[in-house]
Amino acid sequence: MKPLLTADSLFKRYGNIVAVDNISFEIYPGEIFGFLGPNGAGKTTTIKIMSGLMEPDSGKVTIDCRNNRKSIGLCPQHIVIWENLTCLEQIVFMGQMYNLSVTEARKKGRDLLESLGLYGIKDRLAKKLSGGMQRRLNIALALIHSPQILFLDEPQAGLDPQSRILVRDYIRSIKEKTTIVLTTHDMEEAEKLSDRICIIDNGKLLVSGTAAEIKKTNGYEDVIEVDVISDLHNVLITYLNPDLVIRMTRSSNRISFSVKDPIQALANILEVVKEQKLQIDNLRLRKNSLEDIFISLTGRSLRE
Amino acid sequence: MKLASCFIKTFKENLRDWKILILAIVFAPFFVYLMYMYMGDPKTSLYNVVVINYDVTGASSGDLISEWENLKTEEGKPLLEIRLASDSAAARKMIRNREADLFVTIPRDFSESLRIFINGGSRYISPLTSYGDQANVKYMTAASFIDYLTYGYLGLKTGIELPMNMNYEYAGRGEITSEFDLYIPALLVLSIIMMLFTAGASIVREVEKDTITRLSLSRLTSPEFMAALSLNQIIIGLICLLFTLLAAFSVGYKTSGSIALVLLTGTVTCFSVISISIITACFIRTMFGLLTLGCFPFFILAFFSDSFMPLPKINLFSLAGNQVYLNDILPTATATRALNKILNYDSGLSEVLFELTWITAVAGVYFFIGTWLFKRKFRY
Repeated sequence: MKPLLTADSLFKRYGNIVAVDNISFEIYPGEIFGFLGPNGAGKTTTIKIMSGLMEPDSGKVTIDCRNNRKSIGLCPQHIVIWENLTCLEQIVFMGQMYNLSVTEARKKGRDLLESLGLYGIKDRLAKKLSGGMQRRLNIALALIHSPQILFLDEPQAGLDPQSRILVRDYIRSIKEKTTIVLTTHDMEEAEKLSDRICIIDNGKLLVSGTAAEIKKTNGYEDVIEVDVISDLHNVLITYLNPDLVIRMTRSSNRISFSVKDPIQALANILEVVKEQKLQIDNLRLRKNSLEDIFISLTGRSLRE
Repeated sequence: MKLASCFIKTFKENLRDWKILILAIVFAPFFVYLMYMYMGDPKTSLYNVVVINYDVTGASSGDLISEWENLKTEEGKPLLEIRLASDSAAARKMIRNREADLFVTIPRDFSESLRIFINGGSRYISPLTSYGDQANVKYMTAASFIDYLTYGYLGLKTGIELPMNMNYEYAGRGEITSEFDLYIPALLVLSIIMMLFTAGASIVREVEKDTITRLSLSRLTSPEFMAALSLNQIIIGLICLLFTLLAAFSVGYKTSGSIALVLLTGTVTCFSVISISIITACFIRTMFGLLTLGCFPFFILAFFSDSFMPLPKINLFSLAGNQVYLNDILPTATATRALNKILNYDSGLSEVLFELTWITAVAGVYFFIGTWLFKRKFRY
């Protein structure tokens, strides 16, 4: 299949800081492509370059759309709405700015507002909406002209759980007609929404592919999480058989062990807990996640 | 279509951001009333004259003072307000405090010396002394009135005729133009200068909320955006202008100048202020910045357009027989001159054509700079 968007060796620097470091990737029609990375990884800069709002220092973006820039929809990370216009007024206005007639824009605007749960407040000034409603309106404004490619920068940030589900379902529902590129630092969101994921950090592309491919490439380890009540983490680490543990990370009272043989490792942990009389609050065995892979690739958490 | 939609959207936003709009609309009318309060009846500029009459007999000095008091405007209102005093030091203090414009002292032997002169006993009349502050523009006017009336009175009493009489002709309508009248054109321009905030807000609002990014990604071109903004602001500017003019009329200001020509001048002046506000907005990113930093260009425009005080004219060059002054670099200064000619001197289109052309040309230059900066700054 011919790619809809091709990014070739993108490079962007802000003073001494390299925001995007020689990134290349392809995005295909009808897919949801997720950029996963911590804050400051270079996701927003990459989106700005792709949407034409920013020129890269080197490299280029090729978009195979009928009208290129005009076939792009952008939903920025921050809320970009006209506070003194009602929901319907601004969505109709944006429609007209993309050459839709008033009737078309009104019809499409109403449908969009309905889909995103905003129809009931269509005549309310945007400044009087709650934060979550404003975020949904922010997304609606990027969709009024049915773009061929839609860039969503942290679309679910600041949304309540109910709105998250609403937005997620809506994004999924439009993927047939619209190719979606989204950024997030929420690995769960990325995994649930994206067909393909690209993990970036410090402007560099670390790995890309489907969630399953990434996990497969980077090891199908299991993870055992132990929450130790007392301050005796070191005791557990000291007495545990090191041959059973591939990698270990610690955050407050939780220790996460990446292991190849979960049954044997679990037995060893319980043995140490019993012998050393350690008090544990929680013990959990789970499959590894994208966050675990990110930690294994960068040595730090997505939230750091 | 897109232009019309953008125009309607901007107009709605301006209406809903009513605080800035109200500020822009009421600012200049407020100054009209303020000026009126300080300058009194617009058709009467009273000159305050404090008089110490040392004249012993008081026979002639009383008549002379009556002459001064009887000087009236065409409407029959007194032009000189004569206050009699007895303390010279207090009278001088009044001049320094600008409580009076002129202090006249009538000598002890004024009537007696005049009587002797009339009877042919002497060729000398004891002189009156006038005292005033040369920095006070009303001093010279008051002194001229007093001189004129005094010589007239003495000529009548002594039978001496001056070898020549001056004929007085007046510019414009021939009516007495008060200082208040002269401030009205500048206040009208001030009402348009207030658009610096409404026009600036229309751009800065888009920048602050980053909606400019949405517009730049859409099919709305920057010339269409600018045109919608300009049309909107011209309407607001003309509303401000009309409110200011109505405020002036409400306190008795009269003009027989062409209102259509005033509106035409207002329209090109609006365009010039919009151009300057585009430049201003390119350096400001927030509404707070506009209302603070934006005051600098506002005061520059207001100051050089004579809104605060009349400024001396510094010649730059002559163009097609018309003098171009230093403050004409700011089109609002030229606008004040044009409106003064139209409103106070009944000038027609041909007499202000140069000013209108100049304002349009200078505004065009500012508009070009503004749109260039806008494109560079916002990639739009």
